[in-house]
Amino acid sequence: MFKKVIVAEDQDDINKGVVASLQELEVPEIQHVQYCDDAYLRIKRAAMDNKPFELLITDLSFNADHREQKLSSGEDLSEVLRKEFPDLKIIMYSVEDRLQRVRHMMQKLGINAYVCKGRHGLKDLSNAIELVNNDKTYLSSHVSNALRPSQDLEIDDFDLLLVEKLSHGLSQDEISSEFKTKNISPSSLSSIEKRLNKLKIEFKANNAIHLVSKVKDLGLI
Amino acid sequence: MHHIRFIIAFLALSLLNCKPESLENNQPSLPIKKSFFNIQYQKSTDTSLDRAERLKGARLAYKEADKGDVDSLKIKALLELTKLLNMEHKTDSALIYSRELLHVARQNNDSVIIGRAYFKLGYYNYEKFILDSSFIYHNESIKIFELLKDSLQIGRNIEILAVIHSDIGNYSVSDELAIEALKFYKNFDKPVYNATLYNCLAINAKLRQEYQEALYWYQKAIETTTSEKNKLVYLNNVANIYKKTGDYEVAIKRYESILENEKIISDPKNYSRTLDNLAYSRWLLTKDPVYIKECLKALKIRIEIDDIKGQIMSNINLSEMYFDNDIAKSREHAHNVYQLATQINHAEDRLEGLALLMRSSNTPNSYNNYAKEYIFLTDSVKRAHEKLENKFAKIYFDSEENRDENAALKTANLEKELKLSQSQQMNTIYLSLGIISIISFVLIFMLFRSRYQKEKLEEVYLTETRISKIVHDEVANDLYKTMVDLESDNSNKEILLDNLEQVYEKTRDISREFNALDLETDFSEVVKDLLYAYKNEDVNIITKGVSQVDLDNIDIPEKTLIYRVLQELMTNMKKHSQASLVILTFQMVNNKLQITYSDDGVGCEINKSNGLLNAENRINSLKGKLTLHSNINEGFKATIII
Repeated sequence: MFKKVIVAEDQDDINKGVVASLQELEVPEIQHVQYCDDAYLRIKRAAMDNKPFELLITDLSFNADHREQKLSSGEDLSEVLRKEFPDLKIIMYSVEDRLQRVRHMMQKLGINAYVCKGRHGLKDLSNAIELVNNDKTYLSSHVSNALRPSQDLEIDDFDLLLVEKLSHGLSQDEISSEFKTKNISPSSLSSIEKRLNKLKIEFKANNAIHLVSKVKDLGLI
Repeated sequence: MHHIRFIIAFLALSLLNCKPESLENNQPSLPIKKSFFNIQYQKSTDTSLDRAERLKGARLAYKEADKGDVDSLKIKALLELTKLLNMEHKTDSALIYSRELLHVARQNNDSVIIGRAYFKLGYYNYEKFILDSSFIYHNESIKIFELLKDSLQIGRNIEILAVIHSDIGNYSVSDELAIEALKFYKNFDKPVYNATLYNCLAINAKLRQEYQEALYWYQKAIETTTSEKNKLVYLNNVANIYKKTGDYEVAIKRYESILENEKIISDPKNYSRTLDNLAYSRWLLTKDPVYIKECLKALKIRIEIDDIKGQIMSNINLSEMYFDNDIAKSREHAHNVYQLATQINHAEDRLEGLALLMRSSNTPNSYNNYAKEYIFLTDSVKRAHEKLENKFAKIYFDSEENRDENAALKTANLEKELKLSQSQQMNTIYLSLGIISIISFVLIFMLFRSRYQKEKLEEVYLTETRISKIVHDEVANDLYKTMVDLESDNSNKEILLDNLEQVYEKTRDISREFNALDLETDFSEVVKDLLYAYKNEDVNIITKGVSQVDLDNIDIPEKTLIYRVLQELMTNMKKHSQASLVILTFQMVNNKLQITYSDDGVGCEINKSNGLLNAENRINSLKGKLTLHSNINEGFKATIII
């Protein structure tokens, strides 16, 4: 488990919750700061003292106040730290749940986990800390779609053509042979079967008939 | 060029003259005794008074005005003073005061007085036989009065010029000028001036030896003039013609009739002249030495009144008369002629004197000397005349040319002014058109801006009320429900947490609905993220064609709109539809993006929620179209065309 962790969070209540979770995980040294700049300085200092922090848990957005900050958000902080301290693990802990941003931070900034604040936020955070400790990444279920290949949910004309052929009462074999004669690819029985299974899952259909009726109801064919 | 040089020379001269006077002016001005000035001035203008008395009055008046440094009074006094000084043959003083007059008039920018001062300077210079200066001053005076359009004063100047030309033998030019001056006098009832010109024409004729012509003009002058004094002068001139043509008897009669006139006594100059002429005519007729006495009497008067020209005439006559009987006396008078003529720098009379001296000389040596000088003088007189004539021709030509140039300039100026005023008019028109269009542009701009701001404000207001309503309806209500639950003790921690989570989610939704969007890059990705965020175990979101249509090249307002409408539809779906499947199809139809939404939910009565209504308005504002279709248990369908 991590030996030295720093928490950057401007809301004291949330801070306490996070610190409590860390204590539960028996982290011996926990520091917390309310400004990104402070976090950066402490991390830098610790590294210079040869007692580097191993993990940063940071909020994404900080309320601006009278103190002028060079680093005004967890995103800025992560960006700087990632360059200077590649070994430091970073967990983002935020209410932000826009997939685009989550994906940006996971992929471009290379943070190790993204945890959404919410009903199960602290539980998710504990999971995240453990996974990150084991060199794994973590995303709250809420934003887990962020890293999923986007083609997943996309259907195309081929899919609809399949369903249409089914609606005309053709069997998978017949569809396959017809596609072959019409030079429509893919036309192998196995790929047609695979595609139909995927469609059944996506349309939450129990069988081919159910699938056809659902697609018809939605006005796609 | 000559002309300009003269003017420069003159200006320099007048500046020099001004200097001591301006120093005088620097002395503190004393209060003027107006009454004293008035009395003295009145004296100077009172014609019933002795001329010396009047002159004294004028001097005192000027002194008083100068003491108080009151320019208007100074001018008044100087006009009178110069006139009287000239009358008293104090021409040098008259010139000095005329310069002072010019100086004061210039300081006051009084054109009329400047013109009159030039006239006086010209006239008095003429009296002093400084003909070129006279000519220049008169020309200056003419220029000023031309500007002032004062025909009378122009005429007076030309009149003097005519006389000058007559004096130097330019008879034809003199005639021309005299007739031109007469034209200027045409509209004025000034018989004295007209008569002067007739007299001038007569003299020209006489000197051309056209005696009948001369008599005609003299007659006209005599008939025209209202001045008794001048009339007697003209009569004398007429008698001179007869004397000249040898009609001594007629001449004598004429002279006698002049002397019978009582008025002749008041003009000693003319009186002595007539007396001299009469005596000489009688002598010519009879050769009786008794008339020499008469001539001497005339000479005495002429000496008394300081009439040099008259004295010369007398001496010429006397030299002639003594010649036969008393050569010494004849020589003496001849010598007088020569001296007097030298004194007033009158070359012709000097020649006359030399001729007389030669005739009456008693030694060959003196004769030779006189003859030498005569020849030399004749040459120089000839040269001087030629020079003068040239000069006049040039000045005359210059001034004529100037006048032509002035006229041309005037026309050019008029044309320029016309063009200028036209172009100014055009400029004014353009300018006003420009101003009008700018003003209208600004007005329209302001109108649009205020309308835009109003719309913006309205939108802001609507958004605020919407947020307020949502917060009230959804967040506050739910929180209140939770509070009520808390008050009743049968509350359970899990239920409370569930309730609070719902509220939290709602606030998240509200925040999401109104937060700022980053739509600049990768819009299709943004749309997918938006849609897939609603995907969970209960609901599956399926898209078709998102990657096929080009969403990135859409303008920001449209992007925003698409995002908000889709967000609204998805939020609606999540809240109300209980759908398990949502399909979104993106395709281009007739160059427009068409997005169809359909779900398999419970559907609803189309009762547009605030959010969807708002979306519809916004789509309409961008010339797009939103159609909603739903029935209970038939799912929900929406089509966006933009």
